[in-house]
Amino acid sequence: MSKLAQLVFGVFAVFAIAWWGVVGYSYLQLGRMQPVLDENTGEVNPPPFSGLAAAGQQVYAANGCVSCHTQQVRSGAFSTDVEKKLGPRPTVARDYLRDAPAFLGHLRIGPDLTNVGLRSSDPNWFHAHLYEPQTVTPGSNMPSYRYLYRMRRIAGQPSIEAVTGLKGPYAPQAGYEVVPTEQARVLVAYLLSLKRNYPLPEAEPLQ
Amino acid sequence: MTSPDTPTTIEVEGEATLRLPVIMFLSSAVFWLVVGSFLGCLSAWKLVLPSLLDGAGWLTYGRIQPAAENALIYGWASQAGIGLGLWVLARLGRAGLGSERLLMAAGLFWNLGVLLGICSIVAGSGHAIRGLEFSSASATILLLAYACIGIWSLVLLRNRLKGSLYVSQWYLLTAFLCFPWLYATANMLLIWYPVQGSAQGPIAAWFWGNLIWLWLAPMVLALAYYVIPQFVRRPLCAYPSSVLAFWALVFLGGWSGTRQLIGGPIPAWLASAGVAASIMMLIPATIVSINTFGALSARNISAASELSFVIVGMACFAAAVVQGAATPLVSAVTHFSDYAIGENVLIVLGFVTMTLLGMISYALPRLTSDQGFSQKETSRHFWSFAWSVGTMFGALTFGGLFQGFALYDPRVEFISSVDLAMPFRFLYAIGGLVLLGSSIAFAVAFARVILTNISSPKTVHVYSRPQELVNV
Amino acid sequence: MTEGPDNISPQEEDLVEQHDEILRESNSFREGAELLSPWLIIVFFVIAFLGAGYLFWNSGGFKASVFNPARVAWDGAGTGGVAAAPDPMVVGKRIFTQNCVVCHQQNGLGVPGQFPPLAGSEWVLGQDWQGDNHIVQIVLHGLQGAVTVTGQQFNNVMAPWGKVLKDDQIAAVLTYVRNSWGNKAPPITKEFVAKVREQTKERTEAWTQKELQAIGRELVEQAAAAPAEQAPSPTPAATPGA
Repeated sequence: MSKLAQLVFGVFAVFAIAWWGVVGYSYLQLGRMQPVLDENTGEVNPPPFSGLAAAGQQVYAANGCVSCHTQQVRSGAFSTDVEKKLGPRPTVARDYLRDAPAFLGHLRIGPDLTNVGLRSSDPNWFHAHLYEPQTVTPGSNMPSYRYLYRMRRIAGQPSIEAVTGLKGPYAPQAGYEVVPTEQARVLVAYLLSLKRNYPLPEAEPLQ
Repeated sequence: MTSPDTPTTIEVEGEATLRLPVIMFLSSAVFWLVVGSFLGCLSAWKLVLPSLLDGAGWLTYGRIQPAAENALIYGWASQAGIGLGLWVLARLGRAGLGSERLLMAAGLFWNLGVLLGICSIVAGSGHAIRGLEFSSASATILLLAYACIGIWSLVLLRNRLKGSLYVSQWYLLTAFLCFPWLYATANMLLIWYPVQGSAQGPIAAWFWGNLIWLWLAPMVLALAYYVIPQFVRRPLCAYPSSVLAFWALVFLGGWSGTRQLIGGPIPAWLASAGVAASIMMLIPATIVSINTFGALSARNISAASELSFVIVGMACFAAAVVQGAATPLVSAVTHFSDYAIGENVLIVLGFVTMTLLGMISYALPRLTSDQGFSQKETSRHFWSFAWSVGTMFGALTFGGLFQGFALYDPRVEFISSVDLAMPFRFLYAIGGLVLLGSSIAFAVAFARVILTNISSPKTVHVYSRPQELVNV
Repeated sequence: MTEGPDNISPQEEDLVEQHDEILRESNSFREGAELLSPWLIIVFFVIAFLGAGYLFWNSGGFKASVFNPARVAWDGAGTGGVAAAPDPMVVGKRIFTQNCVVCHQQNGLGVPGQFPPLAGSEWVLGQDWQGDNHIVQIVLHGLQGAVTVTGQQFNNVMAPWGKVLKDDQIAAVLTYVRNSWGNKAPPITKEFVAKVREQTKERTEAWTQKELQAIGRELVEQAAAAPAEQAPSPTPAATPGA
């Protein structure tokens, strides 16, 4: 073989080793996992997303939430995530079974969101926080997502969907209300569904 | 050791056919450097002033930041690497292309792909996977454009005059060979026919690691290995060991990506393999550093020239590898903090960008009839870039440490980590402004050289003997 | 820039030849290594050792189910944590609530005259002539005709559950019933249920009290201790109960 052919072959072979070792392995061992049945509760874990929450994943991806937020609770060897109560247990691969894509994230410019659905179950809090994060959480450096909401004149009765308790510079004046668009609605549904408090056989026991 | 007296026509034609495509790639690259710097600067300021331009969806941080990253990687670094890489292959092999039109078309399509991709991110169809945020259409266009580029690189290699291969050619071959596989695989498995979420973490981490260590790094190392012997006027001092360094990089680069998921939701051994690979990466980095720094004289270092860019770039390479190897020691504190952004800045802006800028400055007078940048200009460029990258890296690393300690302590609220990081992020944003200014200044100087020469393509420098200039 | 564009260095031309010559001259590993200081070689070995050692000690036995790198799982332990075993009381309560409360009620007292109670029932507790196997038989195949429970008379039909519930589910629900509402009796194991199921797998009719009384008394511990002992097989022919 000529020198060039040797080099090409060699590079391909070495590249293929890592390719099989990481990508092939991940597909074979992690890419064909099934949800497990929890005998105690009769539920299937991880639980499937509701239709709204599944659509919310798209909005989460489109607005780049993953640029600031992680969704992984690391195990005790390298972190204090569980001690910080980010979740009852570290997350494992199966937790992300139904995620499309898996929003693992790589930066905590904002807090971890793995179990944000456990920390608050009030949709209005989420809406208010998306609309005016610096008012709801003073000192926060999260930008406002008010472009996912509509300000409109109150017609008769205030809408049940209207976001209440807004106090910031863009809060509605008298006679006006802020209602979420479809995007905000599904995004909040997705955030509310973020709970990893079910047991899995390969995970650590729940704290 | 010297070649025959008369220049062969192969030498003349070969390089001449490559001249315009290379200039096109470099011009596009510099354009995207400005765009990427602008977007990066904007996102850095949004970090410090979150209410800056937050009324519209297309300007939100979560879209601008990935747009900046992708513009710098696919628009600036990839194109500069491709252009200079093909040029170096032509010069080392004394080979040329059949026709330049195909390569120009490929470059055009690549730029189209990047443009569409950036627009798709900003419009809200990003995929939220690092390095793969471009829309599927853009990714396909990039791959199709690349097909031509990859094939021409193999043609240039195959048509080389001399049988043996220099280390730059090995590295360039690696980059040009691996890119289509890793880009296509990642797109296929994560975007087009996505695997289950449970497997996406390691595959995405693998892709990001490979994009850095098997696409950008080999191209840049090849260029550094090419240009340094020119300045020191001597062969590399530990050349045989660069064989080991080469194979080590190719092997370890593929595995080191999963280190970013250390402690995360992937099988423990995968992350540990990534860390082990990062530790062992110290070996090729040491050899590369010996080769690049070993023969430098005081004269080389004191003058701020193109070489200075390359020296700083290679120093950043060594520092980045050391940072990577130190991961298990610091990960508990630094993971997810601004320190991680700093690591990225060190690699993309420090190592890749600085070396490419130096290489472009070196190549300009050899691609055009212009004198290139003057000593003063080069010095100004060098110091402004060096200052901005240094400030950004320093601010992010120190701020990241403070932030990281706050994130690690269970008794400290999350918001304190934000407060601690803020002043450093402010410094980072200032560095971003200076980077933007430097990029614009470089682009203006670059444009001046290109535009004043474009009208006189007759003067093409070829070399057959030292100190002799042949005008074609 | 130290040189103008006209001065092309000879290195650029001869880069390939020069370096190729170096490679050819130092073909052997030893000669190539001599260009590097021996201390550096040692350092390289140390680095490689560190990397490999890290991988070895943090690999979790290279198992796909170990996610915590601190867990050195070479001993065959496959899981990251203790797998939460299903608690029969929790599972049993769930099954009871889903299937049995319609008749036997959530409080296990049944409906007087209609459905027998389970609380304090000698059938459940395995007292008198009843053994552990009898309640398993009832759940598997059902019960019909006149029965006497805690001194009261009932005459109704209980549907069979053998096809609907698996062995471990029957074991769980019976364990729950035997340890709720003041009841206290040993748990039923799924192996025992499987054994009893196997004994009467041809049966299609519900039991009557008379038929059940004909079957010998079996206990879970006895059956576990002496698995070879053959239990007397009941008459497969179903006679309508009196």
